[in-house]
Amino acid sequence: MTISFGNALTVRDAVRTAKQKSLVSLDQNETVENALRILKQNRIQSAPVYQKDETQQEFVAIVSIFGKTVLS
Amino acid sequence: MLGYVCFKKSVTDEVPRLVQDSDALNKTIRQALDDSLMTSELHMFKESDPLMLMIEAFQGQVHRGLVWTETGHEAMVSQIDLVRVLYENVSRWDDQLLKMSVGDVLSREPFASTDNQRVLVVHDQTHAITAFKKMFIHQADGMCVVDSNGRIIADLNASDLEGLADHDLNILEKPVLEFLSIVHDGKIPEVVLCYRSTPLKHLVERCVKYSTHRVLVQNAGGKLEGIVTLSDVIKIFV
Repeated sequence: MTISFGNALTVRDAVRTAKQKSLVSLDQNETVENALRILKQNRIQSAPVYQKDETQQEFVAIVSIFGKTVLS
Repeated sequence: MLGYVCFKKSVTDEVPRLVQDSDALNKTIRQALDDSLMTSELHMFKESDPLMLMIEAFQGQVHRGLVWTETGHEAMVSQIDLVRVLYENVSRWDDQLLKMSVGDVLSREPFASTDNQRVLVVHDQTHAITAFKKMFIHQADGMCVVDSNGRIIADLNASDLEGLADHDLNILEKPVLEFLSIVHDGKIPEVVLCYRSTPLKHLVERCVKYSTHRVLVQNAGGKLEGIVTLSDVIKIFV
């Protein structure tokens, strides 16, 4: 319906309005309990999860404290 | 996540009961993902990508994404951030969008309606744990709380479980209204409502103002007619 609408704007516009300004990420080797604590301490509902080796770090998932992501 | 821990073992029980699954909490995130205790999503965007890419991704089950910024950092963007941009740019909406109402949204398939399983209802005397169990079984994010006359009085969301610690779990055995009052410091959150006749523009405005991911649609008698989620709103712009 509004293809031109979407193309007139970029993802940058969404980043500008995003509430979660600083990114909190979780090591995939973190326990679920610690992950919950970190999310709660930072008052955020979701965070990207990364795996890392000696040379690089790579995001592998985004997990959420609630919602379908968790309840399913 | 605590919600999951509570209900996983009680899902087949007739009467839900609290189960503290310390094994699940002690697993690593990787193990939890591998064991399907948690599902994951990972959608990535570049800052320079057209917004339409994000609109298309967020119209369904994807609720957030990771953005690589030009300064070399990453940022998280959620559905509500996207809807905020859509509302800020209401001057770009075409006439068709500006003329749309909530009724038009509800009449589009496969959008929500009272026939849809996504519209879950519980009575105010229902215990919170029973309500969340129902939410879990139907894989819903929220449910409408009604009084004995069927009128909407509250909105129970999966996010109400956010931050519950182990020692707080007993409050799940209280009626939903009492549960909501406790987790929201004595005040039951205002229900975000609209009517079928509400213009789409005003619906989006309400989503942004209350940072809510769903709005309940009521009739003149205050009874539930349907539900509109952010996914439904975003789908309109595809």
